Amino acid sequence: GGSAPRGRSGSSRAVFSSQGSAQGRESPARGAARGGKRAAPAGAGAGALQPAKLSRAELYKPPTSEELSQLKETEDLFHSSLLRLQVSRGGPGSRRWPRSAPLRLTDQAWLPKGVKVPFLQVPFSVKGRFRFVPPTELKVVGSYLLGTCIKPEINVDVAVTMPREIFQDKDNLNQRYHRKRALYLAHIAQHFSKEKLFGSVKFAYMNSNHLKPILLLRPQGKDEKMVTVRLHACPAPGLFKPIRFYPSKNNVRTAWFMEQSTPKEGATEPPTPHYNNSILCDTVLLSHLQFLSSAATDFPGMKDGLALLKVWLNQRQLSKGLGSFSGFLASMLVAYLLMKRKIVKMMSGYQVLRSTLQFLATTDLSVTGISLVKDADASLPVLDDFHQAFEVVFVDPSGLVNLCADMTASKYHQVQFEAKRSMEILDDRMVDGFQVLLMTAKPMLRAFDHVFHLKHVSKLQGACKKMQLLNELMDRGGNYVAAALPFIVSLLARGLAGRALLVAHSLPEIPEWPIDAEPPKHKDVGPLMFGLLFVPEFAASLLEKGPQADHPEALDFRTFWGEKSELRRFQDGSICEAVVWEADTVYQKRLIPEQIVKHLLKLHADIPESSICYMGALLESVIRTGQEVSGTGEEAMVSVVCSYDDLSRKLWNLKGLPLTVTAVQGVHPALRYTDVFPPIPMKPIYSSYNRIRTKHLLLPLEEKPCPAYIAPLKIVCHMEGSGQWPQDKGAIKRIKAAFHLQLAELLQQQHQLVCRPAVTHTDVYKDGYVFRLQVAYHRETLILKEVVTPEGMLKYQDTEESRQLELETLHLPYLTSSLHGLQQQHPVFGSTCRLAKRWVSAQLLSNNISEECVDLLVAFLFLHPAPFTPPSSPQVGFLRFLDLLATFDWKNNPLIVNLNAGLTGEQAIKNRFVAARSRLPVMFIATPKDQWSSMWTQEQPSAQILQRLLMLASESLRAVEEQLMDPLNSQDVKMVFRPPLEFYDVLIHLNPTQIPRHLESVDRPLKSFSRGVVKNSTSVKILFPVVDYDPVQCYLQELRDAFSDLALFFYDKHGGEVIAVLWKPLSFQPQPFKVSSMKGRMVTTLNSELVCVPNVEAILEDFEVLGEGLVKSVEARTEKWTI
Amino acid sequence: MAAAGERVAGAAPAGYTALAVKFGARQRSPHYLLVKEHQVREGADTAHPPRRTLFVLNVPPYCSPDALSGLFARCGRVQSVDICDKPGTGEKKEKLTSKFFNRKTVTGFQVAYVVFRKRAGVQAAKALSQEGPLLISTESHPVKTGISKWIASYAASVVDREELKAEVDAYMQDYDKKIAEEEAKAAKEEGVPDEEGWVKVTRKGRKPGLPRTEAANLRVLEREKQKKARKELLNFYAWQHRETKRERECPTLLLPLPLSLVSHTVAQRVRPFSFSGGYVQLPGNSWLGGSVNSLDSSLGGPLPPPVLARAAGIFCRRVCKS
Repeated sequence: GGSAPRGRSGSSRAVFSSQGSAQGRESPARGAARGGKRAAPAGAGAGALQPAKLSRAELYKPPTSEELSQLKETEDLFHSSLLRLQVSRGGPGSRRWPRSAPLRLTDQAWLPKGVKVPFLQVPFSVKGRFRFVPPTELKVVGSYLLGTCIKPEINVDVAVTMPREIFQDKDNLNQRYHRKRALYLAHIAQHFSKEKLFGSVKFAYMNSNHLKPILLLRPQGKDEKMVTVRLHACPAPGLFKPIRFYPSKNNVRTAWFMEQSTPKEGATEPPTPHYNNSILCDTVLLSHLQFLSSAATDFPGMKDGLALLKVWLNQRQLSKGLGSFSGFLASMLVAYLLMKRKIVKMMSGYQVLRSTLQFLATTDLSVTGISLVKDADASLPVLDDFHQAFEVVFVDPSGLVNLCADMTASKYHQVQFEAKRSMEILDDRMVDGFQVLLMTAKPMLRAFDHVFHLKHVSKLQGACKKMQLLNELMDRGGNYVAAALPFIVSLLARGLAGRALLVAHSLPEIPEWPIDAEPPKHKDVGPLMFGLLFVPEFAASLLEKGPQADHPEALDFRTFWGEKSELRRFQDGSICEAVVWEADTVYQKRLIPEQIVKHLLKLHADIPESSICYMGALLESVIRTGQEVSGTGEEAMVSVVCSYDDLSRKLWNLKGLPLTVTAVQGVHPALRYTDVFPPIPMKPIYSSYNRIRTKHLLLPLEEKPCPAYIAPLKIVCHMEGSGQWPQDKGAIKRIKAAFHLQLAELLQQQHQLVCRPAVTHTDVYKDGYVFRLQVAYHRETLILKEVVTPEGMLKYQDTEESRQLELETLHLPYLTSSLHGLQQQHPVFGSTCRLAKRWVSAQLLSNNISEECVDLLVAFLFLHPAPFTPPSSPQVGFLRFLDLLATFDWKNNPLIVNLNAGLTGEQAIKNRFVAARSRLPVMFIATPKDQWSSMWTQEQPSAQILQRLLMLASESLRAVEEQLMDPLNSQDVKMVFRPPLEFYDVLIHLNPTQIPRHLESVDRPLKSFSRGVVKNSTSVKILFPVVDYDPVQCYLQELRDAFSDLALFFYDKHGGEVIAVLWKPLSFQPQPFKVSSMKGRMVTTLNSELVCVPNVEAILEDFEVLGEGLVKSVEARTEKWTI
Repeated sequence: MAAAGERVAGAAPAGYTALAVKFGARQRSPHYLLVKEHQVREGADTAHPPRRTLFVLNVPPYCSPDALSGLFARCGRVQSVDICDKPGTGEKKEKLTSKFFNRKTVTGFQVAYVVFRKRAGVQAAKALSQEGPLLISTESHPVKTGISKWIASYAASVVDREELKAEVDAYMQDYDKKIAEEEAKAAKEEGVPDEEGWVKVTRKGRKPGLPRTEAANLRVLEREKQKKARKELLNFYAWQHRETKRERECPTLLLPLPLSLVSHTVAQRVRPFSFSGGYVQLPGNSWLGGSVNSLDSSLGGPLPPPVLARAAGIFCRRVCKS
């Protein structure tokens, strides 16, 4: 709303600056004021029409009251001085443009070189004559007058009425009207292109409908981007008889379209509803304006409501392109609701939005169309006629035009789905509806679970042939994209019924073009994108069960699925037609829709697989495990959990323990399905180890490659409380150690499990996994907190040790079980989490942000998906994760993750957060069990790391979306998993043989080493394998211990080959000598003063010394600093 | 990043001597140890006797106590080497009693106290600055770093079950004995007054005492507060008495309100009160106790000025009359 007046004054300035081009810059107000003078010819007299030379001082003086009142007059009478431009320049009054002599339509030699006809003239030959006669009328129509324009595009629609003289009989036939219209616009364009008035003169297709070119005029100067005048040519009123354009009438002859000399005998001509509709649209421009303005009078809420609706549509990418739900359509819908008294003029903008969404959510216009006709005329076509001809029906007040003619049923269903979802959000008190509905963009990539591109739309020509769509092609003027699209989409919708909630397509869009260029072809819409939104339960089902073999529908099923359909016997004894898709792993099952799409398009539309670029699981390659390429580790995770369940049962039933086990809780990420690379059952090969038979264990050998990393799976084992427990922290530790010893012994005796006890845990080798049991006593945290004051009072205080223990034995098990539950509800939660963590780690930041924090961030996406639906594919989940990181306002908002729906008082958290902001961690995540402390982000990430993370996230998101949107180039989505290294000061290159997780790296290494293990889950009697031994982590630990105040160390723990070092700039400032800060520094004289500086050369050598055998080379990038 | 333009290798602040030290012969750039004679004020530090002790700053992470004593062996026999995180903790250091528990390893750059048998050792060590860089890892005494060190420490992390069991058992026996002794002592003292006549009350006796915890203390304080509130005299002063009495006799106030106020919209807001003609009955104590502004809140919206003034008038009159 607010931008319209600016556009107005701006454009009027442009009018003037061109008339008196010598004047240079003029203030907008003055320009408008003088526009006003011109606008009121009676009052201002002829003198005002000629711009006088003004001195600079005069030019910038404030407007007088007289000028101001004229300005007002201009606004009231003419709505804008822009209108004046039209009237004075090309209007009937001036008659500057000469009439041209009548010529044949095909004879276009009169057009100068700089202008091309904005119409695809196929077939070229057509009867009829054209001459140019200046327009009879120019009128501003559309949203500009209604005041419902919204940014970023301010369009002023002007209807140019072509005089009756240029038309002949039968111009309704065979695109004759359309071609005259195009030639007429070309003629006008030719005149305007000579004017210096306009910054640009271009053609465009109205709503990308290539039958309807329009002329775009933009003022010169910096307003060029702001406002666009769109010229629509329309016929003189009463030129055509409406009855000729009823939906069932034919106006394109097959013989002409097929370029046959004589029409076939006896063949009936098919109806051409879209063609008819395109002509009718032009005849009702003015009456629509009147209709809408009568609806808008005394209805201030309509303007606001429409602005909101338009923003809503824009954010969902619904309002542009062929068959869009345009802003104009939204206005008509509001007017309809007003007519039906579902909206009253008292309503506010918000209420208008709400009522409209409510209506959209509950009404399916593809089944029950609506009409704006007030008094039904018996001669007019009825709704059923429209339904026969169009997929979506919304008839205008004249009863002739279908406003939704180009919209596919699928697009309307998408609108409907969005409206439903939005109503849910508006009714949800927990969500900030405004932010979510109107401020959040929903690009297709982030809104749909899978997307795929049709790389070459020209393949749709073949599809039209295969599906025999000649009539539709004729109707659409040869536009094979528009003709085939509804059929393709409904084909897919049928094939994916049950699996997909929504099958949507992007709207074909053709950009504007300069007037001296040939008009864009149909194939210039670029790749078409399709989006699938899944029903999580059924999306991955292997079976497509059809009707029983002897039923008549069986044939239909067989023809639909082709040779994939086969007869199968089912458990209930029935024999049915069925399609079974091949997929072994969860990863492959997720891609069954891809198989379906490719199969159906090949079978029914002749579109080869190579033309389809399916973006379902491109990113998942980075979490693939092991050497095989078929799976992404979900199966491995399940088998870990099974083994864990078995172990916990065994622990429960262990005989001979002095105290019973009260609870067994897993805390390892694999037990909540979020471990990036789940453990694989392993059995050691003895020859690669140093065997210590006396202790029944293996040790790594220095000369062999480092053994494969075996992660211990941490399990907390709570023991019952009893008076037997000592009440002293030292003694509790000893008792726990005794328990570890005893557990090991009993498990070995009763279940033949190989165990290795230690002071703080017992490692158990079971089914090829190593579990790390930790005994916990619930009072221990309390005892650790005890402090006796000097007065002898017992106080409880959090200590570092107690906090750590509480985190490990209380909060982490709870989080693990909550997230385990979330995984049961949303099967792709785990994989999304793993992708997210893989990305964090690949960006070398895994040590700077806790794993649990990333888990919670991803959980947020599933628990609070608005305005989206919960992700059903890891890829879309990952994109939203990046978006969340990049766009969430961490400074001013807490991220509230309502795990298990256990939170009610969200506002209380927000209030407390605001009150205590400065003392809280930079990244604040609240959960039901942790509302005030944000325990998983307490220490990490720091503000700088968070800043970097956000920057990396937004860059990665941009890069990956760019790749996913561009099907024509090869996708290298791994790009965002390769960290930028130029930013670091020192790179420590590691020796791959000593990196135990080398195989997990983003780009799978060409050369792999024997790491002394084989996949095996059955062995029982073995020497205990090497567990939790990762030289790189040992090295990093030593580096951080020694140099943490001089540098930061970054590493990708999943097989990174390089450790990146960043000097801390502050510690490189020379400092005065201090005993406590001499670590790694040396004393030197600077300007005859003794100062301490880091001994960089020695430190660089220390890097090599400490990592003897692991470090390949240390690369100091001294271009950033000097030694 | 600062760069030292002209650098004097081995510069040292007052009192210190810089000793260049390298890991091995292969390395080119040395670290500089800063050494000086250890000084204590009152001779309290018995573990590090003055004059015989060398205080060493900036000991590199790979330099273990053994390596350090090897380094200074040429200056005289070394009695002991203490390595710690920061200076001054030497005295409080307890002896490590357990092989498995409370093990803390010092990492990174450290400080060290090298105690020589004789005083001459300290001086000899200071004189080392004239020689070339000292080597920490030599062929005769190699220092393990990197892979070999980590494998060794992995091997060391494996505990011997029997040994651990024995140690735990021994500790627990001691602990049980200690507890038993304490209990016996407490039982003996139970009810017996000490020299000054005080009797110690524990949780165990016939009359268990309160546990001395913060929570218990808070509970007691809270209870006291409540008790105090209960006991407080309410109508002690004459004016208090009078006011209570009046409140009892005249519980509500009739307040004239203009009919315009009781219009459609306001009526909704003041619904909790009953209407009688143009009068709104307000609960008297709700505003008499407070200021006139409290009327405001009970009505739910701002009052037009005349009503406010009138209400204030009544208030004044009543007060004057009494």
